[in-house]
Amino acid sequence: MQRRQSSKHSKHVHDSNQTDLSAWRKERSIDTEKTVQNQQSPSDDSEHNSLEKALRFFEKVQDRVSLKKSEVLQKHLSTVESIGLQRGLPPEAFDTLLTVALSGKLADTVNTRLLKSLVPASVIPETSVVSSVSWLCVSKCTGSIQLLFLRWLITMFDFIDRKEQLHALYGFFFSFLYDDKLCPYACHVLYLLTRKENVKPFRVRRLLDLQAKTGMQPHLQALLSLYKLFCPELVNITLPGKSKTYFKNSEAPWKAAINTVRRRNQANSPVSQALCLGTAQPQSRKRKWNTQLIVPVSSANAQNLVGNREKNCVDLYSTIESFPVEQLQTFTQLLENIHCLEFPSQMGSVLANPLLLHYMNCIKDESIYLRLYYWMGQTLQEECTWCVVENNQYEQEFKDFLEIIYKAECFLQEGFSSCEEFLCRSLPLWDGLCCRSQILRLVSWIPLSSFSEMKSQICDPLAQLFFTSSLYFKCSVLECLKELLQNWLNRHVVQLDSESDNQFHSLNTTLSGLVNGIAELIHFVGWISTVALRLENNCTFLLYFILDFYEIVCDMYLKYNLPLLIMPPAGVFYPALLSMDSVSLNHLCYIMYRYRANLVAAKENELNKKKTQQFKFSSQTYQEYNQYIIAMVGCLWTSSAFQKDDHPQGVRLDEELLKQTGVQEFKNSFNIVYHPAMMGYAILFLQQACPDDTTFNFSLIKGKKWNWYLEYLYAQGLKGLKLFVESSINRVSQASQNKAGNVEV
Amino acid sequence: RSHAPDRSHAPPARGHAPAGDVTARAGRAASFERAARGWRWRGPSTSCRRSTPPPCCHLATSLPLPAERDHLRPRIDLIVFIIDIKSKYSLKNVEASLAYVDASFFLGKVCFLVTGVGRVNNCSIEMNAIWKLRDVYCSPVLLCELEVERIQATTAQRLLRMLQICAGHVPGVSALTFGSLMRSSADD
Repeated sequence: MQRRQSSKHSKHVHDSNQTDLSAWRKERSIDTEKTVQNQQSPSDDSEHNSLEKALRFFEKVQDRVSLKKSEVLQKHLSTVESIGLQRGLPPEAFDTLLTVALSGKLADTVNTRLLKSLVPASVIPETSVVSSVSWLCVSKCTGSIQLLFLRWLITMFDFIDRKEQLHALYGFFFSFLYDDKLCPYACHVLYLLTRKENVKPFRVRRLLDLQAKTGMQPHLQALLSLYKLFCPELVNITLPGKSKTYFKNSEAPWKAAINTVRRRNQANSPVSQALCLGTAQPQSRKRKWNTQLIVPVSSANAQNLVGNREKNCVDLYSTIESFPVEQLQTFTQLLENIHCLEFPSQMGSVLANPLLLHYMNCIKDESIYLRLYYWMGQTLQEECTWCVVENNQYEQEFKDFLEIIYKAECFLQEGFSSCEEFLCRSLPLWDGLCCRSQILRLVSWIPLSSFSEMKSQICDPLAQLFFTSSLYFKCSVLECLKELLQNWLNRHVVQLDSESDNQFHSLNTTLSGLVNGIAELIHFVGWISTVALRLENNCTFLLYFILDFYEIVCDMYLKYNLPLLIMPPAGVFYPALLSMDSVSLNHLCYIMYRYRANLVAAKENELNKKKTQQFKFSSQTYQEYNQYIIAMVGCLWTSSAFQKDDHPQGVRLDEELLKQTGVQEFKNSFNIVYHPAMMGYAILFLQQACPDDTTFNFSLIKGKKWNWYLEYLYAQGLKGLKLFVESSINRVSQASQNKAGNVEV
Repeated sequence: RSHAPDRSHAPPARGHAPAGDVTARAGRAASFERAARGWRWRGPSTSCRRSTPPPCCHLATSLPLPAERDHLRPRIDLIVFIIDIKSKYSLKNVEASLAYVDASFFLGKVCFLVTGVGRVNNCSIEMNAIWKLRDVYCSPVLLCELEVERIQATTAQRLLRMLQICAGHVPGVSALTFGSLMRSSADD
């Protein structure tokens, strides 16, 4: 019924005079009537009809229809604009509209508006783009329209469904370089299209001539760098290193519309036309991000390529047809075609694809990295939600993007350099809340070499935020720094393994750099932890994260074969020792036990002289440890901490002061029975041991009961305490337990 | 446009402190103030029975403050100078107002808040000028973008934590210590 009505309407329009206002008004009222009457039909239908009418109008429009005078033209133009900017245009609309815009039939104002509203709802058919390029070559349209078209092409590049014919038009795009105004954008298009076979000597010569004429422009530099990476023998000049921005941002006029269409598509849950390779992931619906991150399905030429490959496998000397990555489905396919794999032009699709990440890991081709890092750096900079205020509404997408980068980094077990640059630039401006966990996770993958260089841009803003932000932020930062340390240590172990396999002994030079870098990080964490504990009043939650960090630090020698041992600062040790809860105390005991194990092992190695030791721990390290252990044993066992602790920030108190505390027998009263963290256990123990006694007489816990008490504590899960007591406390005899024995160091 | 809100905190007496008067000059400043007021005061976690009074915030567009109200004004614990990097006038105004601040405030009770980092392309002040201010007046610089509501709230919370320290509510950390912490780099 709908179709009959629409055909009636279209007939109505075409029969009557186009400038007849009455016909137009009637049609509009019928439209509204139709939408009111038939409430089942969605507004999509009426919009679709009006779009069809507009398209038919544009197909048949004659030259020189003035916008001001023709209301029909205005109406159809606004239809196209409204549909394009809100819902996106269907694929079949592009041919007509591009032809009209580029053929110069209408005025530039119309053409500009048309081009600016050409936002696709799903894909752009390649044929329309090819025909529009042909129009471009005929130069019927003005220079500014040509420019706008190139910008449109760059922005919508990922939406074009197939690109084989576009690749064939490489030469045409190259000819646009001759025009000064079009040159930057033409370079950008070529950058997206270039494959190895496009790099020819005459093109290199042409680019070098242009460069000689106009100087080293960033866009020329970009294209030359890409050529150089594909064929280094053809490009002999030296190019400066990675440049931060090669191309100006072309997508501004369409950016808002693309985002609107994407959101709309998300809401209506359309069928995603992209295929996720490998795992059965739920199909992501994000348009703009997605078309860069999922390899699009290529349908038509699959058969041809397969046929060619079979032919070429026989003849080894012929050029090997490259295997398009769209067909890559399984790991075995990757292994078979690893020598001729062609990367997709949207480098971002590599990140979410585990097979391509495997490939990236193995190849030595620098161009892949260059393209990926360039694209990643650009996207990170442009979409950063706190550096560019307008991006604030798209925070969820940015978060997801950062997650994907992080997962790719975890897969490859190393960081991307464009990420480091992004963090350097944006951390000083960061508010600490936007994408917090994602940003901190990215920080944990910064390699050690870059970290030492960028310390002032990363550590200082982090420290400033750390001191002024909430408890949870502090804990997140500590966790992130722990992950960072862990990653460095893992990498060190892996390098050690690989080097020992190759029998390549260059350990000396790199090891000291590594040790210094790690030492700096540990001192930084020690500093901020001390301050944080003061600011948060020794909060247990915070102490947990700090002690977690030091749990890694204490075992660096034995577990990671790194000759470095750094004790926690007094501002961390004493709050943990005197904390009110047993978890921190237990944790500290475990850490001190591990420190002891590491120190003992180091001493043994030194004495045995089995391996030539280039490093040995200084006596200062042992002294520090001894001081701490005296304080600790004094606090937990011998009640002598207040007398014997001579650490400058320790708990030494004069005897008069101790007398003033009013504690009756202070010589016996500061040990694991009376420790505030343990008192609860002591009470529970007494309840079980002497159920009839209601006065909690702690001095009962001595002799045999002391051993029972210890067993009780170990049974309550205080394993760290058990290890510490067994290793660090030498019990003189079983009988006299009040004055517990010496401390072995 | 630069605002210099004087964060004042009533002396920690028993009973509740009088709510400070707020002169809101512009919408942005008002919402900032609302964010500041809405933040619940989280006192130290030790057993502090006395309820800490809420912070009072006073806003001004330039210094010196009018002398007529000197006797009514409570003790000032923190002065925050807001500089908008999109406006050269803002920086000039702050530099002029700095002359009226007593030297004792620069021992950790002054802070510069630079807004507008979300529009780095439109900034007309060089960041070098800001760093010079930081070095000359020995006071920390916080960067933010007050156009975004969520960042407003976060920045307000950060300033309130600083205020907590400057008012002496965190035992063991003085305003001077904290100020030097905020300016020191990881190398120190």
